[in-house]
Amino acid sequence: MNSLLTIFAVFFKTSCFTLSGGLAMLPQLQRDLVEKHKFMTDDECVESIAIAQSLPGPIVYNFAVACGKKIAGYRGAFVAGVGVVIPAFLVMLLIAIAFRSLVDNIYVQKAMLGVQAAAGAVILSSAFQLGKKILKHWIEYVFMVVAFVAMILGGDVVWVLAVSALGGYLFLKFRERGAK
Amino acid sequence: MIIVLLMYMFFKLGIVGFGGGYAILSLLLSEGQRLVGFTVAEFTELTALELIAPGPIAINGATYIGYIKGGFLGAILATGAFIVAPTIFTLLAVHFVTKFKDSIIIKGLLKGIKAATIGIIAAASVTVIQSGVMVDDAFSYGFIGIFLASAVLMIKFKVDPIIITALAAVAGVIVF
Repeated sequence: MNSLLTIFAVFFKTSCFTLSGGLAMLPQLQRDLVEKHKFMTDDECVESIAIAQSLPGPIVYNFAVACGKKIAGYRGAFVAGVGVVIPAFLVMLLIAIAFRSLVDNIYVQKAMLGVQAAAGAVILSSAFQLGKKILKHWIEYVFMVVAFVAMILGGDVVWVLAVSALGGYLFLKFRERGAK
Repeated sequence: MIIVLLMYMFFKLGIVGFGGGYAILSLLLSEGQRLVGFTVAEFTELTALELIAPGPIAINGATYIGYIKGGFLGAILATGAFIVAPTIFTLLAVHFVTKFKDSIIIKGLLKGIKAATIGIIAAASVTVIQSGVMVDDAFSYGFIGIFLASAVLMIKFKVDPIIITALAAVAGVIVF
């Protein structure tokens, strides 16, 4: 019981103190889980990060569920996940309620149009950052361009992702055969 | 009815939402426009407000859209529906970790998905820019100026998004 509370507290606290990007939370979490509470080894922690990043969903949430499960089974997974979600949910809800009463203000509308231009840039820059990490082989550039064009033309994300996933798999399989 | 659509949409985003934060927001924009009448203006509010909300960006997004489209109940159910699939996938992956790590199928699928995600994010940025660049049927130099300045400051000079967004809000009040 005591360890369940500690698991909840570790993830709740980290979620509270991270504005935007969850990836920034990971080093602090790693210190807390491995060094401070000795819940897991460094290797187990790195393995959880790898799992969290390769699955769909919020990365820090996945990381919390993976760590919670390793430390204390399904109950651990539950309290860790809830710990991450509660601050994000409650504070966003309060902000949404407060902001909705301002939406019709003319100055807020002007400011939001400026923010819209910046939002385009924020999103584009996150595409650049991810691209630098991920794009290595020419085939990956092909997947990227095809997905871009398909989305611009109004394609369904499910199909775009399914086709790229299949393409990636066929590419790896083909290359492995060529190597043998 | 809108609640059911919200739950369906976020459950689906939990399955296809690879790549974390902004990748998931990009999917949210295209799916939201199609399914629940989400607008670029509302998307803009979300990108500004999630910067001051703690925790994972995608959770903030589910809560925000859930709230503006379906009230308090919408916020809870959208957020809940969103984390169902990631929870199941993560538990399975931890359970079958050795098979998961070495599987060529999973490696291959992820290779394609990760590359496509970048294209999807870039397309979302085009949607956002496109819908703001024409103001009252005239090309808006102010809008494109703020966009270009923000893009250079972020990509080239690594300025924090929170600062960019605050500056852009001030610029918006002055320019428009």
